[in-house]
Amino acid sequence: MSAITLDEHEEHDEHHGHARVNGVMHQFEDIDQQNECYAVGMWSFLVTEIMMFGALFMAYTLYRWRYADSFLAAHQYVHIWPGAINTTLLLASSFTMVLAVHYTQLKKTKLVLMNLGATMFFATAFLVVKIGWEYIPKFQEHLFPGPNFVWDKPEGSKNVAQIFFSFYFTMTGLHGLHVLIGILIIGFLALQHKKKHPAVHDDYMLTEMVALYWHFVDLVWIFLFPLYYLIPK
Amino acid sequence: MAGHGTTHKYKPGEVAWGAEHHILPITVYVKTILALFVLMVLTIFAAQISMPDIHLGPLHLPGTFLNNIIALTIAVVKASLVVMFFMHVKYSTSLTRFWAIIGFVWMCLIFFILMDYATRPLDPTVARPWMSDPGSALPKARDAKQSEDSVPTLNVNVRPRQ
Repeated sequence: MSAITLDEHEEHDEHHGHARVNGVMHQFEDIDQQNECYAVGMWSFLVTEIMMFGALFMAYTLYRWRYADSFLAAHQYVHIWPGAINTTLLLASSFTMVLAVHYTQLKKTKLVLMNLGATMFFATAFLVVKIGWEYIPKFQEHLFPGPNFVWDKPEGSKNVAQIFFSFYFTMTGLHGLHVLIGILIIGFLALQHKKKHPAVHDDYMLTEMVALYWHFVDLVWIFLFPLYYLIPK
Repeated sequence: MAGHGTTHKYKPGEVAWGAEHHILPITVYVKTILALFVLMVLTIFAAQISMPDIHLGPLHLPGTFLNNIIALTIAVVKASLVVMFFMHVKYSTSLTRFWAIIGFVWMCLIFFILMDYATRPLDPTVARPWMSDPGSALPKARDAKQSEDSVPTLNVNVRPRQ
């Protein structure tokens, strides 16, 4: 535990009025404790997210276990190519996001902005593929559950196919909403980096927190991909 | 508190607050993303192969079971790579690791609900000729008394559809 001496640089954050000594806020012993506090707080939030998605994954597992044949029949309308391309896009965006954290640690703002921009580009491309290549054709083929749902295939049950597509739209839709929120947060973060705001320029943990959220979105997709796009025959 | 594998060539002041012991070489991230891409291609190819059925003594499992195990194992490996290297859990403190693990413990706990569905006397899967609505709950015991084509007199749980 390093003792704080009076001659150390003291900086007043005019936005909050709290004094930070070498980046450490007054309630923390040192910078490592402060950064650990950030990480634990963010992980607590991610645990609540895991709970939310976990319930959906459990329900999906139950219904796929019970209605294996109908789920296989309905899964033929979920095409592998947009899924594979979207997986690639999200993995690439996770990579650029972690690079953004790396360059934030090194205070290389230009490279941070480039990587955050690439992350937002990949994320937007993900949503374009998701909506343009998957959602809109499914709406046109009457595969959205509801009164207009059409199932004229001999195999599989119409009701179970509706259950499958309810799960599909709920889970990928909730995930897509997280992607959209992620794009907005990363955009805001990039704006602060551009202004070299001390909260993101000197303190890399804020960027790290956004990155944790973004990697979580990637994690959800890592499981959604085999469950919806790769059902074995 | 420096993590394993971190570089120590940075001095406080020239990098972000507290970052000097937490900067990983960029090759760690490059290796991780390459592994993730390889695993993604692997899982797509594995899903195209129809695995043989498993017969282990009294245990008979369809080939799709093996397919699912392979797909989910690859997914778990991919997820671990992301959590360990991209989310820096491998290099973080024990308290952070504890919180990261708690989330996945919860995932395991929630799947214990499936034990209930496997053993309770309610079977939502029973499809009978008179019942065009698989997905409705139906007591197993009541169903057992009826033959395949009998029409139930009491139809509490099933709302008939066209």
